[in-house]
This record gives sequence, structure tokens and C-alpha cells, in this order.
Amino acid sequence: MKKCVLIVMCCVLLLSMVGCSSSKAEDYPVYDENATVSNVAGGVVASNAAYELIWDETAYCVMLRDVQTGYIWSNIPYEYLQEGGLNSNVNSTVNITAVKQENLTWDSYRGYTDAVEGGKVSCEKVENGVRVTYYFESAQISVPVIYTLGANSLDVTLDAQNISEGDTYKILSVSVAPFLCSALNENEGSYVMVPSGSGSLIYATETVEGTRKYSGNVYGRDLSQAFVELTTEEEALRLPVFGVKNGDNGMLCVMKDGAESATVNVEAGNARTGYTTIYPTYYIRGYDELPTTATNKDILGGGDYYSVASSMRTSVNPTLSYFPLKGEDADYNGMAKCYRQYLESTGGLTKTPSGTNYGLTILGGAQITDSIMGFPRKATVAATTFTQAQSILSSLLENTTIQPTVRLVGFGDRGVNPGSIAGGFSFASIFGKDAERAALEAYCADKGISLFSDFDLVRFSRSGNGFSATSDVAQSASLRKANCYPIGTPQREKKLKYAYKLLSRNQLIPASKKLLSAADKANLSGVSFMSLGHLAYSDFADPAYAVKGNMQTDVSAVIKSFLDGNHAVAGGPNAYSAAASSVVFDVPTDNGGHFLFDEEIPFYELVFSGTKPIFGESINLAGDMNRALLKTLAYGANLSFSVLYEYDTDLTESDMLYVGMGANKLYSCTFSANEKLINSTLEKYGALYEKINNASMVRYTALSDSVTETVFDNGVTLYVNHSSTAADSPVGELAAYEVRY
Amino acid sequence: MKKIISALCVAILLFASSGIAASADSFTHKDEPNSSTTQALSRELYEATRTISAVELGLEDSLEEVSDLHCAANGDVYILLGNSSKVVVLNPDYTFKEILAVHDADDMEIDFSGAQGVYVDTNGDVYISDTGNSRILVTDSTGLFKESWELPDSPLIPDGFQYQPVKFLKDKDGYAYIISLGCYYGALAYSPEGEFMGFFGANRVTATALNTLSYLFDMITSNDTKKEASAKVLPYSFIDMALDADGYLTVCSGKTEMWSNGKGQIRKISSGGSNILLKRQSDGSTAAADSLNFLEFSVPNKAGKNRVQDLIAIDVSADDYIFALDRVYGLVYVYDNTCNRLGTFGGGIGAGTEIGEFVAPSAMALHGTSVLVADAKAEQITVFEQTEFGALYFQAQSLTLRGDYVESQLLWEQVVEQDASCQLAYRGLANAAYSNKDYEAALAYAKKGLDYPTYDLAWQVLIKEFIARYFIWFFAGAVLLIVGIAVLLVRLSKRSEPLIKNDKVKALLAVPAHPFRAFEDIKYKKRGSLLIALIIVLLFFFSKALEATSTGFLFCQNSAQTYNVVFTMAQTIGLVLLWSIVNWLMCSLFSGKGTLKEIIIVTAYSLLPLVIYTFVYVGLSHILPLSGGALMGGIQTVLLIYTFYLLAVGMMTVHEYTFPKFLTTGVVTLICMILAICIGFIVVILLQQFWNFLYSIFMEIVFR
Repeated sequence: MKKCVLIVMCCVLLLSMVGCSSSKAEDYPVYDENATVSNVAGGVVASNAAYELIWDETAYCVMLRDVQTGYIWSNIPYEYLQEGGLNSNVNSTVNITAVKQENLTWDSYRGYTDAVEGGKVSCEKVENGVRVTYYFESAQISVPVIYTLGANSLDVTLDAQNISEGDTYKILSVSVAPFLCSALNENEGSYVMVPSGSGSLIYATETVEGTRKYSGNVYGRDLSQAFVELTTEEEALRLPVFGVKNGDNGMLCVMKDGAESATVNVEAGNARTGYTTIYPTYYIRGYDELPTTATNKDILGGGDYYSVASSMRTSVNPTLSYFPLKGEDADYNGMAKCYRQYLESTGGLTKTPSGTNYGLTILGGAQITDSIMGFPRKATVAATTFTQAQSILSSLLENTTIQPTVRLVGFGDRGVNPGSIAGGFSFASIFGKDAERAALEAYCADKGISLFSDFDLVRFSRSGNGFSATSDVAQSASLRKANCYPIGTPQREKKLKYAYKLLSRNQLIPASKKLLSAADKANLSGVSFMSLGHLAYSDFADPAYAVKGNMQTDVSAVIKSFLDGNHAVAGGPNAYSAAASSVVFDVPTDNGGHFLFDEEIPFYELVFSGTKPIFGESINLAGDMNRALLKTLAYGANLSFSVLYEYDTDLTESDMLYVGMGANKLYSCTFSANEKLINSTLEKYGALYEKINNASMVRYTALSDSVTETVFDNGVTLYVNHSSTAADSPVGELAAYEVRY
Repeated sequence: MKKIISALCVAILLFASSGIAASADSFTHKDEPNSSTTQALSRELYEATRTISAVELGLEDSLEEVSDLHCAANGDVYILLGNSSKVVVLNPDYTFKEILAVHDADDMEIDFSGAQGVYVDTNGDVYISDTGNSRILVTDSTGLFKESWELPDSPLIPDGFQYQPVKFLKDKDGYAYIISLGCYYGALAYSPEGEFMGFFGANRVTATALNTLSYLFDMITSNDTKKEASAKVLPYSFIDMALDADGYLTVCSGKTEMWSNGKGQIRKISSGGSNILLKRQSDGSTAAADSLNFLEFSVPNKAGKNRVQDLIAIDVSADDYIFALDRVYGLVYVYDNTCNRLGTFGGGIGAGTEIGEFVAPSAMALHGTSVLVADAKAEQITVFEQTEFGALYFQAQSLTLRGDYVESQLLWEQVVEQDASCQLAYRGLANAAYSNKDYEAALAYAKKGLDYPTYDLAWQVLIKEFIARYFIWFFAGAVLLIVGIAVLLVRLSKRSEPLIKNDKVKALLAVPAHPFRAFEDIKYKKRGSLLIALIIVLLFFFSKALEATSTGFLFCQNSAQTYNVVFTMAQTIGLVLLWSIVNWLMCSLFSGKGTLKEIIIVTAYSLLPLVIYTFVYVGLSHILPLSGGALMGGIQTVLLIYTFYLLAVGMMTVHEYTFPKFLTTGVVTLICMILAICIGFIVVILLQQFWNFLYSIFMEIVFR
């Protein structure tokens, strides 16, 4: 017995020690203190018919000169450079944040004060441009950035793989060209464009409130990231772009590679620099936010929580293209046109004929807590069966000839809540038999209705179908299993009872293959990827997936495989999903209302309208349905509604869970209560949608505080009065809430 | 040039802000059958439609540190910037009107830095609570100084009273009230002539058993050093006040507890100074608002700090709805005058970034149907406008509160169409259906809305109708039953053989009627059966589980979502076994003669009346109206006492104890049971920690 105990204890200790060994040590370039610096003679380093790329060997900056107009964009604002300004912020073309290894605190370093002033910048000529390495001596980190001239753009690549580090600091993030997209505060009508939700403008004005700072994650926050508290859920930046209008000129920046790991930052109305600027910060490492304990609090700076960065770095070299805009195109309408052309030219934007339809999300059911013989259990309540879904459709078709594009959401094993991956790759039996589902498919095919069945390939809470909720789970930056929690209202506490996991990124493609085969077997005409189109997350088990790496590549590949397999795909609003899918649901029709946003614009719709059906957020879920309806019309998006057949008050529990996508507020989805709204809306605006069918929105202008003008490429101009009082417009007085075209 | 740019900015931002609309968290509380409440999302009553900033108003200073907001009768909005000694006046459409130049007759500017309240009476006179200078500054509508209200010279003012006025208001009869910072005597009341009348409506210290014991202990063990070090428990001071439609003063207190959100944060004070705010509870009873928690029931702990809520502002709408602003979560709570929560909106928890959320909310005022909330850190005022749904909801509830149930029906139906989870709507519909004599519908709606009184009323009518319709059958049935029983009894008495032959069953049935004899038979004639005892214990468990899950709607006190049969198992089977084992162990030290088997048998047999009652109760709960609950409750109490009596007799018999000895061993047994439970918990916790240790080792291995 004694021996047995001894052997068991030895095994446990041995295994524990194995667990404590350092994992997958990464070999990253080591900082060379004695690296020699070189420089390239100033002047034109690359040119084409439209632009010249100029290197300034004294200020260590690049300039893009428009050959035709002579206008110069520079990563140190040109007029500022001419005046010989010496603000360390403006003169810094690259800034970094590094993690001090001693106490895990974050320190920021500016390119000008920490590299340029000490002459620690090295420049070498590369094809069509220059490669500049910034040596941040105090942090012992070097950052190489490559500036090249594209056909009509300045391309900037952050050579993240060759960032070198010493022992004291590890690189966390790099802010690239902070003043390349900037506008002088005194230039009237200048602004920066942030693609938050539908899109926003922040004006370049100095105000009594001082500098206004904004930062937003591209494609939303990293879902795998651990956090102590999430007091607010900000609207995600759905498109990897940003822009600036500076007087009569403009610039659009497209984040080509590595956009997933970026944040877009704005500093508006900075009186000290005189500029309003927008720029990206790329996270080279991810991080988790953890609570401090009594033992480590003092060491970690004394705060209530601390951040621990991943040892793993991103495997992607972020690349940006800056497109100068001029004349009429030097505004947000021109930026949208430029981005759409970029998507078309790179083949990333598929086109689908629109048809004058509207989106209808039919919600299947949700998870509730129930008890069987007094033993608590998680159960699924069916709010709509397949037969009921069919009756909803036939009832709608009785009153209108406009066909809906239907998305079935929450018909898996846990309804709208995470259950098995992809809902178990099938439909739960409580929603009806297979024959009933097949009958629904046949009914839709017969009536020419596009039907999409939604599958969650990202979130799951139960093992099954070969995917384990223990081992096939994405890892966060601190190599923990990425446990996600819905956030409660109103105290925003984590709902521990409803914890779910994220599928490990290397299982995403295998899961999609399995789903494809299930979709083939079930003869599904269309599939929908709501979560895949909304959410982006990391998996630090593999460098390829660190800091949300390659999310765009993976999702595009999944969607393509379904399209190739003759299944239409309904995507979510993230750019890569929207661009590749046949139709897009949950298109943002507001910007989230951040304090700093001065104006809301339909930038998203300007990019995608006319290329495929884009369905806005469900009208019947909006706080103010009338306002939401008018905005959807003015923004050129297709109308959308969410319904379920029968509401059970037990579903309140599911509603309390923050889902973050278009599947909550079940209480306002009862079909019988919404049927009249749907019919009357379609009757009123069906003719308008017939007129703008397949037309692209080319210009959107807010004419006054209540009237907007939307111009489509087929010549239709739409005027909407959003206010409760009559208002003047170029086509005469518009009555309250009137829409005229 | 600068002016042009500035004007342009203002124009741009004015123009731009109108397009913004966002809805922050919107939720309410849902009553549960077990008298608790759960949070539930609800359709938006209010939507943040715009923000007002200094830039928009063209001010040189930002709206940092807005101390107070007040909406005058003419619709003008007064913004008090206490730190910079300014009152900014807005037109009713929120455009800039003027900065009130507070000056004296010689046109000298009067400083009121640190002021915390502003109020405008119906004549347009402005009252500034100049906290730092311990006075109320009274000016006319142009800002010309009229008078100053200092600390009154009155014997009613206690010695050492710190006069720091923070809020002022006047009722329609001209009586004025002042809240002084930290004053726990209530509001200072003034007559229309400006004479100090005394303190009005003080909060009370809540006496709990714990603090009474603590007080008694302190009295016994007190000494001078201890007296110096001890803190006096004082009532909480008012933070803000408003007048309701009838002219009653409605006040709020801020943070009242260290570890919980406390109770009675909102009060409505009668002219006699007592709280007249009452809560009509879902079971029809009325509770004083002093015992009601108006805020959230849980206090999350973040990084070792309890997020206790703190009401900082209150206002009452013309139709008598109470709006209160919580500083900690940035939430605005809306209550009607019977303490029904209509909704809550806002949010941000000190770090809001989106319109409708807050960083540091500092003041709130109602402006018509809109709600204005100032945020000192975000340097802006958010305007919440009532949504179409909100207007519908308030209108429907107002009609219901007035008793116009039928008129409210159509509105409630529209409310339910937009928010199918709305309990108040179902209650409104239940009332309407009852008024329309549609009792079946009233039952269905009342069940959905957890409206017990209306369900009860409708049920009583239906039961009466049922009995009236089938009275002849009931009568005939009753007669037949009585006759049948009589015949059975006569026949049984004529039988030579008894109906029940089994001695053990006979002993069981004899327990309720002849406990001494029956227990003696069990002890000395070995007529007790362990099998029967265990069956009774099992039946005890089943009856309690059935009571929890299958009681009729009117008597159901469990939510299916929270009920766990394991607890019932512990409370029945576990308790009987624990009692028996501990009693057996203890009594062996006290010369008890009973064996473990006998103790189990006696305990189980004693429960027989209770078990039968519970089954009967479950059945009757589906038939009886609420008033029958009192009768059932009375019967249950009697049976509980009788069960205790049976247990006492049984224990005395099997252990051969006298009554005092039974009492002594009973108390010792109870104490040991508590100890055993504590030890059990410790063992469970240890096992849990050990399991977590093993699990973390497993996870380490899995992840490497």
C-alpha cells in the first residue's frame, strides 16, 4: 500500500513538473545593440505616372506626391515639416508599446524621441520604396517598416516577423504612421472617418473639452481575451478601413493584411499639435486582463487588475494601403467608392442579384433552466417549429408579393444559445421532424424564397460530434482555455452559469467540412454563419491564430467551400464575411453612438449596397421602430424583421444573456404581434425597393438636422425626413417622417 | 477667424448630434413565485436621442462638474456649474439662452462657488443652494440678488449644526424645504413667510436583532475609551427631493448600507412626516416602502470592492412617476406611486462610452416627458426621450392605477405585442378581463403576470358559478358519502374480525389517536416496523417535493427555475436521519434506552399527520381561493405542534425519559445536529478544494 501511494505521488509530481515546463519557446529576432545604421539619400525613391514616393533623409519620413496636383501627403504632415515643427508626437512616424518584463507594466516609446533624435534609424532602398528600421534604444526593440509605392497608393508594411527584442522589454503593439491620415484642426470641414458600425465622422475641431481620443477594435474585441470587467460593449469596426478629409483632399487607408489585430485610433482636436489624426495600432502580442491578488498586487503596480501579454507573437506582417483622394472624391462618399473599387479589383467582393426582398429571421428556440422531477436541468424551449415557420411564411405571402429572404436561427440543440458546435450539425427534434423541415425547404423552393439555416461554428458549451468542450477549445493569451460569458444586464456581471467555449481555430475548417457534408445530406439550399460573420477571436495554441490572426482567411475559405458546394451563404457584417457571402444579414444601421462621434454616416452601405442583398438590423427589435425604419431606408439597406411563433415567458432568461448578435429581445418577436407591422411596411415601401433594386448607393448627404438625401447609381434620389415635424428639402416640404423619391 | 470656426463647429455639432440615437440597457424586475425578483430585459421606455455639450452651447467652459439640473415651469433648463459659480440657462429646445449673471444692486458679481443646487419657483425667482457659503441665494429671473437665507436662529437647531444647503424647493402653498448636507434630522421646513418651522420627515435607524444585541452588549461592557472609539448609528440623510403631483415631498437617500443596497431608499413624506409610499405586492398584500429595496438585490464585488448603489437624484413626473438616478451604475429607475418598477435605463458603470451611458452621472431632471442626465466626467447632458412604447406603457399604467381597467385594455394589448414578457401588462389585462367578466381570460393573464389577487377574485367567481351550477349534484354526492360512511361504520362494528389484522400497521394507525399506548407497544411489544418508518419518511419527502412543484397557482411559492429537489431531500430524509443518529448518540450518554431503530420508527411515525396533511393540502390548493390559505396555514400550525407532541411522547417512551430530560436531550441533539452540519460543510469544502487541485493539475497537463 505504502509503495502504491509513493508511486502515485511521484507520478503526480512528475506530471506537475511537466506542466510547469516552458511551452513552445518562440525564437524571435534578438535586439542588436551594435547594429549599424545606414541611410538613403533623400529624394524620389519610386515613382509612377500618378505619384512619386520621396524619402526625407533628415526627418526620416516618406512623402507621397501627387504628380498632377503637386499635393504631398507625408507621415509627418508636410506643412508642419516645412515650418520645422518640433513636436515629438507629430515627428514620430512609428510609436510602440512594450511590456516591461520585470513587473509587466506597459511603457510607450515614441519614434522621434527614442529613435530619430538619437540617430538610431536605418534606411535601405528596396524595390519601389524604402525599408526603415527604428531602433528604440531604451526599450531595446527595433521595428522595421517598409514603405513602397503602389499603382495608386502608398503601401506600408510592418515587418512584424523581424521586430527584434532584448530581455528587458517585449513588444506589445506598434502604431504605424500616426500622422499620415491627419487633418489640420483649422481646416474647415475636415474630419476623420471611423468605420464603427455603419460609419462615423469625427470633426477636426478644437473644443473646450480638449483632445478627444477614441480607439476601436477592428472586427470587435478578441472574444478569447480574458477580462475582469466589461462595462460597455462598444460597436465593432466592421470594415478594415479608415480615412481623413483634410480640406479639399482626402485619404483612405485600407488595412490589407493583419487588420484583425489592429485598433483604429483617433486623436481629434489636439490643440498642442494642431492636428486631428487617425491611425492604426497593430498588436504584435495579445494579452489577458486578470485580477491581481494580495500577493502580486504590489509587484504589478498596485492596481486591481493587470494585463499579461502572450509570449507568442502574430505570424502576420500587417500591410496598409493609403489611397489619396481628391476633388469630389475627397469625402466619405469617395472613400466608400475607393474601398468598393479596391474590393472589386482584388476579387474579394462577390455579387448577387438583389431582388426586392426583405430579411426575415425566424428564431427557433432558446435554452431555459427547467427542472425534471425537481432536478434542475438545462432544456430547450421551441418558440417556432418548422411547421409554424412555414405557416408564418404562407401567412406573409398571402398579403404581399414581396418574398422574404429567410434565415432560421436557433434551431440547434440549444436554440439561440451555444450548445454543441454547429448545434450538433443538425436540427433539434423539438422543432419538428426531418420531413417537416424538408417540407419547409420545398415550400421555400416552390415560392422562390431563399432559405438559410444558421449554424454556430464558433461558440459551444457541450462536447459532441467529435468536438470536445475540454480539448478543442481556443486558448487565450495567457494560455488558458478561453472561457466566455454572456454579460448580464444591468450590472454587467459575467453569467457564469452560461459559460461557453470557443472552438479552437485549427478545428474551424474541419468543423466546416463536417457541416458541409451535413448540409449536403440535408439538402440545405443555404446556410448562414451569423457568429462567424460577427465574431473574431484568437487561439494562442498556434502562432497562425495569435491576435485574431488569419480570421479573414479562414472565414473566407469556409464561405467559399459552401459556395463551391452549391449552398448559398448568408454572412454577418464583418467585411470579409460580407464580401464573400451571397447575402448579408445584420448590416449595421447605426454607429453605436460613441460620445466622440459627431455624425453618423452609412459608410458600410455605401460600400456594399447594390452588390448583394444587405439586410439591416431588425426593425422590430429597435427601441424606436420608426426611427430605425427611416434610417434603414435612408441608408439603402434592405428591411429586416425577426419573428418567432409563440413567446414563452420562460424565454426571459435567455433574453437576459448578452448574445451580441441579432438573436436577443425575443420578447418583441412574436409573429402575430409583428405581422401587421411587416405587411404595412412592405406595402408602404415595396415600390421604393423595386425602384432601387440592384442599384448602388453613390452618395449620402445629411441636408439638415432632419432631412437626408440618398443618391443611387440608377438615378433615383431618396429624401427622408427623420423628424416629427415638417422640413424643407430640395423637392419641397417633406411632412413628418415622409419618404420621397 | 476663430469665432467663425467656432460658430461653424457649433453648427456642425448641432447638426450632427441630432442624428444620433442609441438605446442603452433597458430592463425591469420580474416577480417570481417565491417572492423574489429577477432582472429581465424590457422594451425601451426611453431612448437617448442627443447629448448637449459646451461646444454645442458655445460656452467657453466645458460642462465639467454639473452640480444640478432644474427644469423651470416655463420649460427653461437651468444648469448649475457649481465649481465655476455659473448658472447656464437653456431654452426649452435646449438651445443656449443665457448665463445667469448673479449680481447685487451695485452690479457686483456674487460668487457661489461650490453651490450644489438650483431651483426656480413659479414666479421665476432662482434659488441657488450655495453650499460652500452656507446660504440659499435668492435672485430674480435676471440674476439680481433679492435675499439670502442663512442658518435660522431657532432653538430647534441643534448645537454644532453644520448648515450646508444642497437642495431647495417650494411647494404650491409656498412652504419651502432645504436639504442640508449630512443632516440626519430631515429637511429644513420653512413657512410661506420664510420662517423656519423645524425639521421634516427624518429617516429612521433600522433596528435589527443584531444591532439591538450589539447595543445591549455595548451597554454592558461600555467604558470611556470604548465610548470615544464607537461610532453612533445615525439615520441617513436625504440627498435629493421632489414634489409629486399632490404636493407630497418625495425624497431619496444615498448609500444606506456598506454591504448591500439597503432598503427604503425612496420615501414619500406625509404632512405628518411619515412615509406614505406603499408597495402593493404581487400576493395582494401591502408593504411599507421602508422595507422595500428599490435598487438591485445583488451587490457585485469587483476587485475586492462592493459596488453598493447610491441614489443621487430624484424627480417626479406630472403623472406621478418617480425617477431616481443611481450614481454607481448610471441607471435611472422609474417607479409608479405603488412602487411598481416600470423600467430602468442608462448604464456605463463609471466607464460609459456610448450615448445613453455615463461615466459620472451627477444630476437628473425631468423635462416634460424627457429625462435629462448630466455627466460630470463626460462633460455633457444626455437627453432621453420617451419612446412610442414608453408613452403607451405609461398611459396604460396610469389608467390601471386609476382603476380604469377596461379603458386600459387596448393599450395593454399593444404593450404586450411589443413586449411579450411584460408582467405589468398581463396584470393590467387580467384586471381588464375581470372587469369585463371574462374570468377565464383573467385567470390566464393573471397567471402570466403573477397577479395573485386578480387570479383569486376570478377563481372565486368561477368556483361559485361551478358550485351553483352543480349544487344539486354536490348535495346528492355529499348525502351519499355520509350515508355510505355510516353504513360502513355500522357494518364494521358488527364484524367479529378487525379490519386491519397486522399489529404493526395497527400500531402506526394508533399513534395519532393514542400516542402513549402506541409508542409503548412499539417499545415493549416490538410492534414498530422499520420498513413502514422508511416508507413514511419517503412519503414525507415526496409530499414536500409535490408541495414545492405541484401546488396550485395561488399557493405555489417555488420557481421551477430555482427549485432543486436535492434540498428538499436534505430537509426531509436527511433531517430525519440526522436527528435519529445524533439523538441516538447523545441519548446513549444520557442513559437513553432507545435503539437507533426505535428512534427512527418513532420519528417517522410522528410525521404521519404532517404527511397526510401535505398531500391533502396539495390537492386542495388547486381548488381553494387565497382566503382558504389562512385556514390551511392554521391547520398546518396545529399539526406541527401535534407532530412535536407525538415526537416528544415517542422519545420519552423509547428512552424512558421524563419530559424535562427529553427537553434537555432534544436541545443537545439540535446543537449537535448544527455541529454535524458545519463539519459536513467543512468536509465538502475540503473535498471541493482537493478536486480543484486535481483538476488544475489535469488542465496543466492538457495544455502543455
